[in-house]
Amino acid sequence: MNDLFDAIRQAVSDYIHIEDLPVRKQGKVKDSYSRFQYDFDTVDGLIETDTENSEDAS
Amino acid sequence: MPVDAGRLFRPEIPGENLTVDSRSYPWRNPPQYADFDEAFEFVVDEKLSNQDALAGAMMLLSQGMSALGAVQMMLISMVSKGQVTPDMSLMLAGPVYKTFTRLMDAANVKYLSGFDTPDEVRAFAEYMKSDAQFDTAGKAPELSKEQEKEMERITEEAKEELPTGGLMGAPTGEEEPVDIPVDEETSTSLVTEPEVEEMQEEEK
Repeated sequence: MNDLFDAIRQAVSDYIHIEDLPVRKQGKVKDSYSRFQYDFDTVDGLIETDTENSEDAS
Repeated sequence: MPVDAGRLFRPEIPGENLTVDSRSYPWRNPPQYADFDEAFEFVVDEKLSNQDALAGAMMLLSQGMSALGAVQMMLISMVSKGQVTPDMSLMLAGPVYKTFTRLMDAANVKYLSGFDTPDEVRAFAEYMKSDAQFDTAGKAPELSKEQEKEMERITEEAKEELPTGGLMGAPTGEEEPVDIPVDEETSTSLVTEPEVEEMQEEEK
């Protein structure tokens, strides 16, 4: 199960630090979610914090 | 999977693994949620919306567990129960982590992300040593105008004078004591002693 721990860590890192990845890898990660209902933008919009709202307002 | 305490310190006999029927492991069978959307909805509905589980997670995070560790634990437990495949847990990891950390941010919980630098870990350790985490002053949730009006209305209702008088009214301390006749055999008595003749007839 240790391998799965490491793999989950890598998957989370790729997802949340997607801007730091090479462009090809970015497309690969985004494409894998784009075919589902809960893609990048939908997950982003699930929970909006107050700070984000205030940033948008300004 | 339950751990057999008697087997903890007994080494495996060489070749014993070949005699075990591994088909009964949950992760060897088809998963409960094979579709990504269904699996994500399951996590959000059953895990992240569960108040008890979330309160437990908040406590763990405030005690120094990283958000990544909590997500890893949740996903591996789902795999071990046969709810999702290991591959699906990798797909879920990113979205679940993002949603989970957003929830923690909204709840004003300070936590380690799991990708912290040594300086950030040190700062968190110092924060834990201080009593700042128990200082809830100034952290009251901000209410909207509608919520504030509702709160004022409820407070005014509670402050209104209590109804007095009547059987259900609150006691004021000025009531006169009322004697209830019990022993006197009058027409107004509530409890009367049984008549002697009736008792004798019943005995016969």
